[in-house]
Amino acid sequence: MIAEEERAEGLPLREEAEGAASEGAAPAENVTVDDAGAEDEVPGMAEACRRFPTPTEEEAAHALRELSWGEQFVASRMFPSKGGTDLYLYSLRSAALFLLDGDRAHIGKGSDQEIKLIDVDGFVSWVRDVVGDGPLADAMDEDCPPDDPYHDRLQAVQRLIDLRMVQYGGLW
Amino acid sequence: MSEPKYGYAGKILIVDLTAQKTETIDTDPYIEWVGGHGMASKLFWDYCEDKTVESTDPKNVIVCATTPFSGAIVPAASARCEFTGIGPFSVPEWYNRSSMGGRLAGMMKEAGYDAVVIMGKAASPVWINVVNDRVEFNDATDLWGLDTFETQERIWDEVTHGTPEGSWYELSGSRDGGRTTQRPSVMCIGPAGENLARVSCVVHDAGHVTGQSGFGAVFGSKNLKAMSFIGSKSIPIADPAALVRLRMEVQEKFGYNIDEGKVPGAPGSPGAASTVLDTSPTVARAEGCRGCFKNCRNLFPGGVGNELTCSAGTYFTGSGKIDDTLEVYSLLSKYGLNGYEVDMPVYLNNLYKMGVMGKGKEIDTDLPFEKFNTVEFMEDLLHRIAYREEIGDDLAEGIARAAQKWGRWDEDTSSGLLARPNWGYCEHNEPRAEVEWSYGSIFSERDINEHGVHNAVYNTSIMAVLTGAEPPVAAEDMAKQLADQSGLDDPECFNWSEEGIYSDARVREIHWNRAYGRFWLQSLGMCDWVWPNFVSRKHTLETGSTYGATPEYEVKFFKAVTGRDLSYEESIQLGHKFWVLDRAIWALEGRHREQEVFTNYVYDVKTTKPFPLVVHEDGKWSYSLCQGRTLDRDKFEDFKSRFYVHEGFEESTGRPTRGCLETLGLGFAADALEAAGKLGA
Repeated sequence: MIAEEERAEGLPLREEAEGAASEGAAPAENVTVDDAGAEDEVPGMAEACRRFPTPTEEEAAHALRELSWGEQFVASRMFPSKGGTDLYLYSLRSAALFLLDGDRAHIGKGSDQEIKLIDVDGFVSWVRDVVGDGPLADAMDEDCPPDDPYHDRLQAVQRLIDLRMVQYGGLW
Repeated sequence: MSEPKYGYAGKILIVDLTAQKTETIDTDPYIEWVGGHGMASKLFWDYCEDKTVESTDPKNVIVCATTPFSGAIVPAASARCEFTGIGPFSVPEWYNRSSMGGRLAGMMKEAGYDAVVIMGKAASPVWINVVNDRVEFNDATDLWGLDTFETQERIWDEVTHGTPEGSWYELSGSRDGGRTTQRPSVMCIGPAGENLARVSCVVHDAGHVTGQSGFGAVFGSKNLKAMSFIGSKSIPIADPAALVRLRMEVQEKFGYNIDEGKVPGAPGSPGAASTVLDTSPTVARAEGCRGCFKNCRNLFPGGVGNELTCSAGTYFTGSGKIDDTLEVYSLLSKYGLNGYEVDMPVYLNNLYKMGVMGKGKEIDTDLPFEKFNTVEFMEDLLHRIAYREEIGDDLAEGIARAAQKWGRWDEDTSSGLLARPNWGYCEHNEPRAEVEWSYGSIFSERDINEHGVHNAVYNTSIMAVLTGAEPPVAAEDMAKQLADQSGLDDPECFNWSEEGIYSDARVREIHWNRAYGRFWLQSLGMCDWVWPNFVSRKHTLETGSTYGATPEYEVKFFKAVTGRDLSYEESIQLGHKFWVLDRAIWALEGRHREQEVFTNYVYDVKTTKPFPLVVHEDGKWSYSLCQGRTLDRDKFEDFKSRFYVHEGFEESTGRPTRGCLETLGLGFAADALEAAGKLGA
């Protein structure tokens, strides 16, 4: 234990680790929707804008709003040491944090190998019908064929939500 | 003792907090109980006169018992200290158990003690200083109120006489008092234990805790702030050369190669035991319990979050910020709260979202739910629990008791909103499918938290299942391998099909599972993260086999350390004996078959998440995702009846019979149960 004053300023976000234990893409850096003409400057924005129409502020606010009881999406994560835990996601942002955090600094040897479990089809429906982000849902439908292995479908979801969050102003 | 008993320090310390006196007895009469849980249960039996008292009654007894492996270099088996006593957390309260890793067990033996029995209640806060054979009671008034980190640092400073870390100091004033550079191993409570929170734990170093027990509140009820152990004695080992050789063999055959880098494979798979620590440039470096080769914990440059692992390590991830996760982890340790037992934020937020919890709501609280998923919310929540402030007074009782008070228990455990399958404990693994876990838990005192079979089956297969690849061990091979290594010899014992989970073979598997756990994990302190060591792929390329170290190496280590011959079969018999003694204690405490029932969601709500387990269906072995499953009430009751009969318990009550007890050499327990009217017929 080291005195508080010796604590580091902050832990840097690390690059995605090599190896099969890592899941998901590293989220892009924080940008604002309003940065007109910033497509070439903001990592991921150009690709995101190729994939999705640029949302208006109102559309972004609507998609990122806090949802109410009954509107949640129930996901699950499995850690080798802790077992399974249900997570109740009340916003697209929370969903993105869950799907993308990936324990990127591998902070726990027992917990550094998180398995994210979602009903992919259910998640797509939730994004479309509850969150109200049709373009994101359409892209997931396209990139997550039902016959693909779960892991491939999950990674596709993660890639797409990462891009969409760039447009919405990032996560971190 | 006339001659050394290898693996033992030779003495047991009896602490009477009421009289502030201690007594030392020989370990000899308790060696037949081996150590750890076996020894602790017999000591509890002998020293707790009334086993039906409440957990915070001064008559409750806490036993802290090392094992013959403690302080030795048995891989992943040299650090655990078993704690037993009437535990506050479970619903209902009864004789319970926990264990703790780190440096405590070895240092306790090096101070001269195989176990410590703590009785009574001090008139005012005390801490006990054990330096080799010298035991001192100290006034803890100035420690009371401090968090666990502050407490330990103060005690380290006092015991080391202010010596800088790493420097030599004398343990006592005498010439032969011994010298050391070690810091004392301290176990202590924080504010949560002081405030008798049922969700509190005893804490050692930065992150070793007595989880899933509530024992922090027992210490608090006894006004016992801390115990410190430092010693310079040696622990006699029967055959040190053999011990070293065996450790090297296990490392070579079933461990990992530090130079190979991370071995790709299923997350948390038994390959994790042969998976090198994450060597990518991260902020953490590996740390582990004494004598471990797996080192599942982390240390961080700023010290915040040190020794992070397991449930508490993922307690808060809602902000997505690593700093926040580390900070909350350290908060848990500082307060002396157990991450598992306060695993309630999601449920509380759901109640808020439902409109039943909040300011002026049915469950009135000003918890700042608008800040949920921030570290500020977590700090506020944990503070309230530790200090029993506002809603924290309910939450300190554990979420099961809180939900019962709020009138929500039946509804929320029926829907699965509150996933507490048995005794108020968190759902750990899927109770509706992974029955060696759920049955083991419902027939025992808590969440069994024993990963051996789970690591072999689930963790080996999960990534393959999710990626559409072939599992590294085919289902039929896995069942056979488990059958071989467990000694059960029948693959049907490891069939998790909807029929298999109620079979007679499964009865035998539960018997074995409880016995192995009681003996090797809890009486020899072998860490369940490695033991039983069923599957290892480190040597597969050379040998073509995926068989792990079990059961060959457990008995070899036992022989090397103690010099005693013990067959694997004998170890299972002893484990069963220790478990049946516990069943006798629970019978005295009023436990009855009618209580051994899961909460409703286990029977009524179908599984949705993929949970790969081996099944034998329609003549074929495969990995099933076990989706759409529930436990069948009637079938489970029938299973329970057959299990009781198999164990020698009365079918109608689940209580041990005289025949069962006497066969196991527990006639004294039969007499006590008969006198109390609690003996099975």
